[in-house]
Amino acid sequence: MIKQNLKSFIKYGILAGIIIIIFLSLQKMVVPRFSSTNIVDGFYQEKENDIDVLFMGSSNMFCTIDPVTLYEGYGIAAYDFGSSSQSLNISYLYLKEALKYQQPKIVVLEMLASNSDSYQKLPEEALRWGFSNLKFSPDKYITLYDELGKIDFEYLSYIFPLLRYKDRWSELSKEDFDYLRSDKTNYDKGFYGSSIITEEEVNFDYYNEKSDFELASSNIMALEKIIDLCSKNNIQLMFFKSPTAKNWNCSMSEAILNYSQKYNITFIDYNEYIDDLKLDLKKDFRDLGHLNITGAQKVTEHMGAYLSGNYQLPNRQLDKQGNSWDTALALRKR
Amino acid sequence: MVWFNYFLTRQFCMDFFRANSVSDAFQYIYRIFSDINPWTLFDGSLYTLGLEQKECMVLIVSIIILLLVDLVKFRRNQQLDVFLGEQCIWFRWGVLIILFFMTILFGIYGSGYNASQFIYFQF
Repeated sequence: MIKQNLKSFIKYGILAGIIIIIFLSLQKMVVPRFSSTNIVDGFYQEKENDIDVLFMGSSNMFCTIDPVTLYEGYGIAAYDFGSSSQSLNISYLYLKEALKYQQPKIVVLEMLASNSDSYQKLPEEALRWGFSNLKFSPDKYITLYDELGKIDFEYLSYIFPLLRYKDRWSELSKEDFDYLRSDKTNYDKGFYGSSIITEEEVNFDYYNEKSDFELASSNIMALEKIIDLCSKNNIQLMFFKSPTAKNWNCSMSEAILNYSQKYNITFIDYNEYIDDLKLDLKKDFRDLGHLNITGAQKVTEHMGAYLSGNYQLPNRQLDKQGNSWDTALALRKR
Repeated sequence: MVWFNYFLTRQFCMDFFRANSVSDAFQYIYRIFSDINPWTLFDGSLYTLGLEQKECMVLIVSIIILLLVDLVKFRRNQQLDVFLGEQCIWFRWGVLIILFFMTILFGIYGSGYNASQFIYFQF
């Protein structure tokens, strides 16, 4: 009898295993690749406890800070770990996820997300960009519940994205299959550089307009969780705002400055450094919200000088056995 | 032969069922016999009628599966579940896994699907 039960158990175990393997493989194939796919997949490829500075936030962060330039100029080992349109509570989730694999000395958070409510339902694409490539974890699904507010088919489709993207089966190309087997290392260390120059007129009129801005309570809650997590892990936290000609004004910067002073956190608002950085409004922006490569180089140079001048960071160019930033730099120069 | 007669009669009636008017239906029937161009079966124009090439492949495979199920039913006088129950475990599981994933992958459900707009929504 026991032998019979054991036999059935093994049989159904094999059946379940086959179904799970096929399901996950199909899922990997049909889920599209987003800008954050390479960032998140690349992050998981990093050697454990190898990153000294972790940059976090939305596209404003990963279009502005180039870790390879930071490494070349200052020997700083950094990674841009974010996703497009990322809210602060998703940044908190990313930080928790990052700390499972890394022990950064400094976390630098880009603050664009503080201009809107963290729990106001984000557009679907922002949630997909944020959640699709993170590994399974209870934190991920709790944050997802916070964002969606209920457990329904939509919620399930984030746990099993095959249910959302199944219709892509007819669009699959060789690239989709090649990506599955490819090396996922991100040799730009999360940076998303673009050589596009916007044709729109870039000016900072909107930035200079004052408004009645207050940090939303949901954002304060998310920020406090981030501050608390950094404090518990002996991580120094820093805020910055990338130069942007839309969606951000001086009142928002003022609110962040006041908040950061309360916790003794450094806040650099690069909108105040446009002239000092010699940012060319005709050449250094990809669009009104993002810098292109030349603009990112200028801000990254300043960030590198600030970090190396104000924090105790090792010069990782002196690593005896070399590191993945050496490889990234060599590839960049090729 | 009875099936074939049934099929032809049904297809003929469907012209009237789906056409906007009786005169349109007669027009369709007239063109079936007057505008014969077998080349349209091979020049890709079939794929412009609503199903792309890959979808047509799924359709063909699905029709073959339906035919096989019908064969089991009418030749062996067995329902599919009874038939599968008599087969070896690998065949049984293989069929179930294939049908399960075909339903997951090709099923019409999810965010783009509205149950109230099912097949008869236009009638």
